[in-house]
Amino acid sequence: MKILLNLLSGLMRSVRIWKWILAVWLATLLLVTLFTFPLKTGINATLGSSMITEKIAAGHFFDVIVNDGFNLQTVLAIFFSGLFLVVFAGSILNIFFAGGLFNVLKEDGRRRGATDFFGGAGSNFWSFLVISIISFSVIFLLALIVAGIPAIIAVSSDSDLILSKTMKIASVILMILIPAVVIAADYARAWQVTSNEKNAFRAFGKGIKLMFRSFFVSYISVALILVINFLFSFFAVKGLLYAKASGGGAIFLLFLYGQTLAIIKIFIRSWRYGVVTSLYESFH
Amino acid sequence: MIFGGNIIPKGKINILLILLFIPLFNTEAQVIFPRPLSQRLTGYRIDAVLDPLSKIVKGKMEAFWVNNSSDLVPDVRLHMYLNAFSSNRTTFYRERGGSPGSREEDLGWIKLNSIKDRNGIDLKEVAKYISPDDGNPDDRTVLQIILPRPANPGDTVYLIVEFESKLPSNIVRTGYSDDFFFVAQWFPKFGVYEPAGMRYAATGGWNCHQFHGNSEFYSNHSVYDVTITVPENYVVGTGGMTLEEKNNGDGTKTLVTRAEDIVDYAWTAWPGYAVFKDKWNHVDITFLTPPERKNMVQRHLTAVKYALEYLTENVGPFPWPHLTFVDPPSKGSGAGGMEYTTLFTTMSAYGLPEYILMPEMVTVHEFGHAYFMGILASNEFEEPWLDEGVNSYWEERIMDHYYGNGAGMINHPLLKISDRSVARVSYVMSPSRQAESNAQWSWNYPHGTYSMLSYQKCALWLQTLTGLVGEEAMNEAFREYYRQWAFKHPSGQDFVNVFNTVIPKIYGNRYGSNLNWFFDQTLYGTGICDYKVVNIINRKVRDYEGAYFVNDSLEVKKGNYKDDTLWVSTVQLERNGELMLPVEILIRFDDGSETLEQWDGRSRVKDFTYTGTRKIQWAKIDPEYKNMMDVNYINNSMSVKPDRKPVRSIFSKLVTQLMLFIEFISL
Repeated sequence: MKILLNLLSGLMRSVRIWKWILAVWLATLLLVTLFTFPLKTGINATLGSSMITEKIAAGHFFDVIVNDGFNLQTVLAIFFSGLFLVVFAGSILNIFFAGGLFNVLKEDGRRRGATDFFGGAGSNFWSFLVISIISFSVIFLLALIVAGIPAIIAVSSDSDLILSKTMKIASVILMILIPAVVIAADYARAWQVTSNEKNAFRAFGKGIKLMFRSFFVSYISVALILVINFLFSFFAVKGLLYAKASGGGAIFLLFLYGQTLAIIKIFIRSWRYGVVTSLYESFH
Repeated sequence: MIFGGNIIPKGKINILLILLFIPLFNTEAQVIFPRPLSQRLTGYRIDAVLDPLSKIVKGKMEAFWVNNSSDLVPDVRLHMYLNAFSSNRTTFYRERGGSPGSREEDLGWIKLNSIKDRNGIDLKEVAKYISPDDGNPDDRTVLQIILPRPANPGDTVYLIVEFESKLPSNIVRTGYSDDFFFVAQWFPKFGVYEPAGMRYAATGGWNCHQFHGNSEFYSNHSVYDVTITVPENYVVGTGGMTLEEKNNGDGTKTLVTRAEDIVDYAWTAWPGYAVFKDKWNHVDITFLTPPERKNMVQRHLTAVKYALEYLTENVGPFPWPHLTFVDPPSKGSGAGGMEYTTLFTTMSAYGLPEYILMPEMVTVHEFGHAYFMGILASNEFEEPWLDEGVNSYWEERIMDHYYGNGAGMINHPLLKISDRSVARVSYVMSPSRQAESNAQWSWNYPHGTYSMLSYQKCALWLQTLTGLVGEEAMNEAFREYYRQWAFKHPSGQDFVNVFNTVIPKIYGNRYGSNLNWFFDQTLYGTGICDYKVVNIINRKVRDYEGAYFVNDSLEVKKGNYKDDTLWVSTVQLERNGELMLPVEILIRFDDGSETLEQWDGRSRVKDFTYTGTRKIQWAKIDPEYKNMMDVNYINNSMSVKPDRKPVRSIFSKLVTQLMLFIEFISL
């Protein structure tokens, strides 16, 4: 019951901050467009008036990108460097906005506006950045211990099957462990936005402590949202990849559909923040 | 005839052959075929014992070579290929770089304990290692035995050899890994004696090259009687037909095998193999694979049966009643993707999705070598395109025929890659695609172009030729190539000659009296092909406007454009590359009508102009993409209203996917 109440509380808090969810979406869209729009223009210029685009429509990309006229190496260099930059910048942007989201998700009886959102984002940025780095480092170490080392041992075995089974078991263990790291990071950030002390390490320590204060409820609630998030991402990506739009109007509709998915994805993250904030507030 | 140096008059050959050879060789006793398919100028009887601990195969071999030429031959030459793995100074490692390893167990070598003639006379004293290709004193991959007396025409040289073959740990086609063994190039094997007039030989001589970094092999079709003794728990696959398998009662077992009319004999042994059997017409198929890859078994078996069917139908029959192929385990993956006619290795991986057709492709390719150098035993050292390129061409045809045209490599709803496209990628992307023609010895291809030129470029120009003359004409040419050259040693020129005969027979003078114009540019040339649509111009024919004179007085007429309905439409084409190939041009007009034009492709520029009420909407050179040599498909077409929607659709998805990804990795 407590889990359900917390999930509902988190959901309501997220619905309440819809404007800020849209702000995060818009900022991400602008960032991504800064990368993709020039790339698209460049590719259109490369293809010129050619009808080779019919090969793209048929799924034969190879016959398009491998041509003297395409300059594949240059395009790939631009694509991958741009991709790295946009993903990196996007991640930083989300760390920044996470401060704002956590700040406006609090329920202390007062209405929260732009000052709270951007103020929370700005004042907590460095601390949130370090919390994210700690969290990713822990996840990386866990992956190395749980999957990497057994994989290295399994590679030298006779059978491909052993490696495959090792990786499957390791994946399951990681899937169980990762939510714990996420909960600790979420509690750390929920604590951080209420604290005047901006100390990421202390915050992470607090996060771990708070996680164990109500581990079962916290774990189930967050794990449930992570599963929903994962399934949503899987089906959203798959659906988008397989969606076919040939007409101009259909392509625009596809774009709108995709953006709706992106907004829902941000909403699910905000929901998780809301659940942890709700749990955190219940401790006080 | 020579028995280890004792020459016997030619007239008595037959009787002595019967008396002396039959107990040792079963070349006359037809175990597999009712009569020999080849001349069988060489033959081998080998008793091999594998010691899994020392990684050594101990062998006793009786071998013969028949001097089928009219030459007096002073020596015999043998390939001793395992010595390529004996040090980092061998020609093989000098050319490849690296080293076979520093530990004793890493190295590979072949040691001759004795070489004797039939009378027991030791020939070791007259045997020496030579390096005919590069003079490398550290290379011991070719052994020359100076005969005590030269071999007369019709004589047979007979050798009894005891050897030890240590397999290398770093498997490059041959070697071991733990308890896995792939035993290839493991016994002393005769080179090919080429008399004057055979292939390119101006004078008679041995064609017996060293083992190079980029080279394969060249041997006579032979009979092999091989017995293999291994620990009884080992599963063995060989290039021969297993006649008997007996348990020796001492923890070992012996397989008695025989192969006829194949150019090489290899075998593999590993306790972990699972064995699967199948049958295609007269061919018993055996497939050895790690047991965990059983989900791949049907894929491999289906692929090999497709290849059998397609090549039998379009080239010629596969004569052997036995075929074994192997998917080596991961630790022996260096043995994967190699051919020994009736034994070949493929490759795959556990859990590989069905839309990735790489395992099928490797199976089809390696099986195809049973034809292109197995049956049609070209010289892989000197004309690698004649086996690898021609075989790649057939592999592409088979893959695209059975697994979907345009999707013979990857067949996924989101991404389709044809086998042919992969070949084109290699050629188009190579910065050295014009560095050399196909007509080069394998180790002389410069700048790492061996694979790209011998496999892919050749396959591309054969695909292009198919686009020109059609599949059935190509099939007919290959059938004739098979009829003329099966179980012989064709050269590249022989291949060209067959096409020069068959294609004019089918088409008359449509492609000229021969196809030299094509082969000179593609096989023997280095030029690239690039045809281009430069511009489409649609210009209205205007009513007359301007000055005219009436009785010496100047009048000016103003045009009445409203009634203008005629258009002069021109599509401008250019040839950017050196290659001159005939191409088709499909032109679409705004009323929906289309016209297909032919251009011999010789001039630098070409315009097609039309006058009428219709305008040109688009033009495509080679609309069916038959010219695989064209390095730029993008400029092959032009539209007055280019369709940007496919690119927009991709980028629309890319934007959302990127946003979802950033969101996914955000904590």
